[in-house]
Amino acid sequence: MSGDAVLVVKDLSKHFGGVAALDGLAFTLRANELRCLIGPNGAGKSTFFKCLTGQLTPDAGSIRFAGREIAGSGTIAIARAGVGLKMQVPSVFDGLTVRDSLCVAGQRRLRGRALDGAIAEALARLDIGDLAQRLVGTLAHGQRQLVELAMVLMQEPALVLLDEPTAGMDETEIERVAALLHELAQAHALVVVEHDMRFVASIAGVVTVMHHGRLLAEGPADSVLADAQVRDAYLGDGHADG
Amino acid sequence: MRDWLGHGIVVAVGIALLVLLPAQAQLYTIINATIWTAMATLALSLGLVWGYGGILCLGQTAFFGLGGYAYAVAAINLGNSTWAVPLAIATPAVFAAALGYFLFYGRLGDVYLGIVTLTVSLILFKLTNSTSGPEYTIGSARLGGANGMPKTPFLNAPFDPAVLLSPDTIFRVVLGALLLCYLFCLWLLHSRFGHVTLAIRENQQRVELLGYDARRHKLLLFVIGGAIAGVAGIGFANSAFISPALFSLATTAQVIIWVIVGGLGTLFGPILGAVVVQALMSWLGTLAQVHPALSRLDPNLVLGAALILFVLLLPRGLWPAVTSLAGRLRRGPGR
Amino acid sequence: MDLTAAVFLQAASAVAALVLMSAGLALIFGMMRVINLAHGEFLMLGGYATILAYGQGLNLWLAALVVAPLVVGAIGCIVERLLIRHLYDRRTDTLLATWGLSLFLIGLVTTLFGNTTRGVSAPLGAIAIGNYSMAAYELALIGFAVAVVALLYLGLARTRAGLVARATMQNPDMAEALGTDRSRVYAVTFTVGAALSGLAGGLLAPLSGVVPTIGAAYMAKAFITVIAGGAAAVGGTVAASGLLGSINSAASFFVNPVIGEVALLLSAIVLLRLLPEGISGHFFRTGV
Repeated sequence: MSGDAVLVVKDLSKHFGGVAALDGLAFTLRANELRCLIGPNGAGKSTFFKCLTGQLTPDAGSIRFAGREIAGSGTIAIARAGVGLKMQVPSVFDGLTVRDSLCVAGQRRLRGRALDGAIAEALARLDIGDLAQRLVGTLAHGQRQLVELAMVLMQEPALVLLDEPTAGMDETEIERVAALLHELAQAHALVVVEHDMRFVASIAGVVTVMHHGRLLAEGPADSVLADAQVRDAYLGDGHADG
Repeated sequence: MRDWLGHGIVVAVGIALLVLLPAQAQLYTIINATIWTAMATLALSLGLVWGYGGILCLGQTAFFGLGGYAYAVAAINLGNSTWAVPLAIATPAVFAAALGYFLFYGRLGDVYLGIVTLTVSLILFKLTNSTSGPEYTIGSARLGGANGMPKTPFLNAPFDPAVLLSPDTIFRVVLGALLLCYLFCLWLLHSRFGHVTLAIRENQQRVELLGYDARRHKLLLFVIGGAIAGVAGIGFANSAFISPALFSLATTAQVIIWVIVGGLGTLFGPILGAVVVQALMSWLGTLAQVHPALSRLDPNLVLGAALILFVLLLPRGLWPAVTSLAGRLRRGPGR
Repeated sequence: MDLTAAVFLQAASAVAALVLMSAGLALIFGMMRVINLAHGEFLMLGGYATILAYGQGLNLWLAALVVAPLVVGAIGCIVERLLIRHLYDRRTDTLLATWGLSLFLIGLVTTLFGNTTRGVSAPLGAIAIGNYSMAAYELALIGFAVAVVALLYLGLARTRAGLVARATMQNPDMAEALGTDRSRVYAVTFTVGAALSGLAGGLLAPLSGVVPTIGAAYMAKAFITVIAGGAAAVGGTVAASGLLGSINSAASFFVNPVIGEVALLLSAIVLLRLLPEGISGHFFRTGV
């Protein structure tokens, strides 16, 4: 749990039309920390992720990653700086095999035998070795999630963002992912957006709750999930902005 | 792409033709074969850019025509084809770099990209078509408007303008160039660059999230495609003649049909499509002499019907159909 | 003073021609997102229908306003049922198949009628504008263009059928769940679009004559105009025609017609770079 802050977000704001998707969000993450990010629909979690990956430029505020300001930088630069994103709907290469996909993911940093070794390791870690020659487009949803995760890991990112990683998975796969996330946290900082509260409770140390684009509560899983304010936010003080 | 046997056969046939055809065939056949080879090279360039890069370039003829015109103008002005050749490759490549920058860094969608590239080719057509008067010259080369540039000098031996190459040799050079381009594309697609290119065609967003600058990759591929089309233009200049027709809607349509008929997404498919369709048109022409009624049959009718039938019935094209049939035969019955 | 009036009317006539050329394509593209590369040939067929009917003794106005749209509408209906229907959701394949159709139609007309230009002189004679004169028919085109736009707008925005068509375009699955027959809507839309193109081809025939390959000239301009206009079939087309038509006209007048064409094409490219969704993608987005 100890370690320097790898991600420091201050006062982050983003408006769409008249709506404030992010409204002065503050967020700090330490190296090798596994954090869960929860909140009702419309809380701003996706917008936050998009600002972190460079897909959106915030209107105000700062995002410091590994000591550098990255708010407003492009997707490519941020990816090279060490941020990896696993998306809600798996964003993969349907027409390539699993092995070729991992090859593309890793060949920017590695070559030859080092690359082959890294691919073998990623396949083993996610237990998808038997799928290596299959076309990604032919895999089941849960398997595609694992392939995407493997591709992200090939990037060796210091920060891994996961948007609902267990969506569409069965029990065994979910357990595999939970164990994997714990293992990853030993070498990466992780932010996981989830709706499955059992999963959150089983994996997280600290949970951050967002609501209306800002921080609502933050703390250990059990106390946050029992917090009255958090319950109110979920059960609806009126608007689910979608 | 893993089918080394297929590639091997293609290259072997190519080399055999290169060595043997001139001795076996008459002049008329050799010149026709050279034209077809040049067109096949053009088809290859589109097959690379579109089939592998996912770039719907409907104006590949722009680079073809630029290569042809650049060769003609340079060869006339320099009196020597030696430097005309690299100039004729560089001109479309530079143009492709500028156009590609506009297209890819502007993040235009693929439909708009198709329209813009088509429009560019049409603009070049209109411009060259209107250069009829004697005042339209570049150096000592008259552009000739709709009549084109029929007096384009043929290739000569490197650095020796006195030694003009014979049609047999020109055929060998043009076919050799096609083979080299084919092998180059094969190498390119198996390289790291090639892997990323295929991934971009699948999912550009994910490629950028992995840290690659997809726009730069597409631009480079586009430039390479333009250069290969320029090579085709040189071949065409040495076997047919340079005119605005190179930029026309009709030529653009034909190239696209060749690629579709042959097989989008393969390297050999476009080449096969170009040869098959041109052979078909040629055969229809001879038929017309046998049955006079058929002479009224317009080639567009046949081309159009072929395109419609292929899109509806055989959308993947001839070469993939051939290779998959061959694959099934090889695996034997009962599999 | 009359110079200004003459230039203005020339420009208006050029804009009107663009509107007529593009309306059918805009309807089909705007409503169905189908890029019909045989659109130019629909215009060409309308022209041939008109000139052939006139050659048989029919009144020119009847030929252009009735025969042409009926004939091309029928052809469009057949094309939709036999070809287009199989290719919805396959955008590149639609492009290629309609290109094949375009070649086929050119080949067919050439085989049947030969490839010499046929013409008919424009009726209504010339009109004097101060020291300049202009063909009255070109002015009449302005009236026809306005009528077509009005009809299209009223048809889409004010009738049940129009509403159903627009709903189907926005969300086909939802519309189907509410009881509309999607394939019927597409068939009717395509037929109407084809009929409009036939009408336009008939009206434009007296100005340029017909030849099997005339479709290409129409197609390039119509295509550019529709894409530059964006998804709104009426608003986008009118706006884009106005802008591009004026530029074409001005450049033709001050330099020469070839530059005029080039200027139109270049401005469209610039427009698309600035407004990738076309004019109506950025302005009046909720319009028709």
